[in-house]
Amino acid sequence: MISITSLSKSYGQNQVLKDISLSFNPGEIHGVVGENGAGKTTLFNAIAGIDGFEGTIDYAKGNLKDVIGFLPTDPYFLSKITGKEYLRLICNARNIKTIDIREKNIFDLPLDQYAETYSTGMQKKLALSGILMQENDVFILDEPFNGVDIYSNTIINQILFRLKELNKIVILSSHIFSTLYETCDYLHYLKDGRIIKSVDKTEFQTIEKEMQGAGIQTKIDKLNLK
Amino acid sequence: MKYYYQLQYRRIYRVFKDFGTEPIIGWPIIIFLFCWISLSFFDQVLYANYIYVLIAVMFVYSFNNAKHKEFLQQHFLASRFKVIVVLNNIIKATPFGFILVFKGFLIEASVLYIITLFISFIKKKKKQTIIIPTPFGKYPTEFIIGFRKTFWVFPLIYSLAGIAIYKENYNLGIFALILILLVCSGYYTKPDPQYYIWIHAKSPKEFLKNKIIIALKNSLLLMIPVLVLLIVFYSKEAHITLLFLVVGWLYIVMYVLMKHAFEYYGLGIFQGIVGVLCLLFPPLMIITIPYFYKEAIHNLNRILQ
Repeated sequence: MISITSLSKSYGQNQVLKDISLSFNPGEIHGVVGENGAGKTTLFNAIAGIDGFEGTIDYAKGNLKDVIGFLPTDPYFLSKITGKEYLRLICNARNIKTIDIREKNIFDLPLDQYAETYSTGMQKKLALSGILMQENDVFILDEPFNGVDIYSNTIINQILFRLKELNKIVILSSHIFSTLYETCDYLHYLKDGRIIKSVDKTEFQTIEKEMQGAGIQTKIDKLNLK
Repeated sequence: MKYYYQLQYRRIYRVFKDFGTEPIIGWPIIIFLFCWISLSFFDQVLYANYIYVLIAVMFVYSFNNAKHKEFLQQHFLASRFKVIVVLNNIIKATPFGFILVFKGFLIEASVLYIITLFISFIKKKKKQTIIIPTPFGKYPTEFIIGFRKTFWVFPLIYSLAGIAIYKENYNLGIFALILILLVCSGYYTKPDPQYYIWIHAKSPKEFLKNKIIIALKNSLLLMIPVLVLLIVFYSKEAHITLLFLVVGWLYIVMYVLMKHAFEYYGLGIFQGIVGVLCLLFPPLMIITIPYFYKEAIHNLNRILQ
């Protein structure tokens, strides 16, 4: 179980996360939703230990950082590294030496090409394949469905269900509500750096309505499009 | 166009700030160091005027960012785009041109500017799709990337070692060895994105140890042809060859440590300065290596624990 207590994060004077308390249990899939800039990525970075923060994050099974598979929104790839070499690097980092990379290439990626030449969706699938090969206990997936084709989206959904069966903790974000409805057990609505609502599956609609509420028409009118 | 250059000025200003210094202090230091290193280079290196032009051309070319150029092309009028590209390259070449003129190498300075103009119109490939095979696939880190960028250098260096044997010039052979060590050190001049450090389930000490071992093993692999030639044909000087190997390895280790000791933008320039100083006076590494090790451990502690 991961317990987050009173987590806050500031960049200079700008407080990005404010007093966040959440808990995630094994076998649960949690979705974090919010507008752009609400603090989702900052929260994920804090949980992963990439960024410092105030407050506490407790994990019962040891060093959380070493068992997290983190999929960033825009995975960065080193130049002149093939897909296969990237996956080997990712596995080496967690001391996984014996792995059949080609066998586990379920997205049929061209592993002998440079990863930097992949399309956005292919890069996302490569990065996801990497963290799955690391055999992590916790998965943080920042926009896993972004830029990925429909077939691969279905595969990712199925992977999430398998991770849930395997008692892994999964925390993800998405701007596509339908994917969250299908996969998540809980949703947390992050607004202006605070979790303003946490709900289970039966109440997902309330968050969707709340997010869509605020005067979209008025905002578009302001553009005065000609 | 004016605003573009104002922005460039602001970017440089911010680089100094990120480096932790005021531009009014940073500029004189950089200018002084550049002049001092350049003039020392002319004092100590044979055919320095030719090599200096080569270094300047490499500097101008390597700072020709394809994406930056593409951005300019997309947003500026065609005529203005060309002016900006040429002007950017002339600005980059000018410090070197100034030193060449100061030393009285006017023809070399002119050649530099002509090549600079030529470089402005070369279209740099954004992404290369030809996969260059390497022997470093087991641990895909800096060496695999660096080797793919510099693979063409090695046949030249090995040929140089061959000439050293043919012409019975031991010093040329040692020069070939030093070149390999310098090229390998250059693989460690770009900071890793934090994510690529964070993914490691290792303590900072283990992480650095692993990196150093890989650097030593892989550099040895690249040096073997030159080392074998030198030891076979100049067996009497084998102890000197091994001494150069050890000092060269220390140099690479220093670069590995420096890469993780500092994270700010401009690391390459800093490494260049320290690298040249240690090249001119290798015992300096007795101080720099422990210091960079301490700083690297401190930095890695924050990311890995």
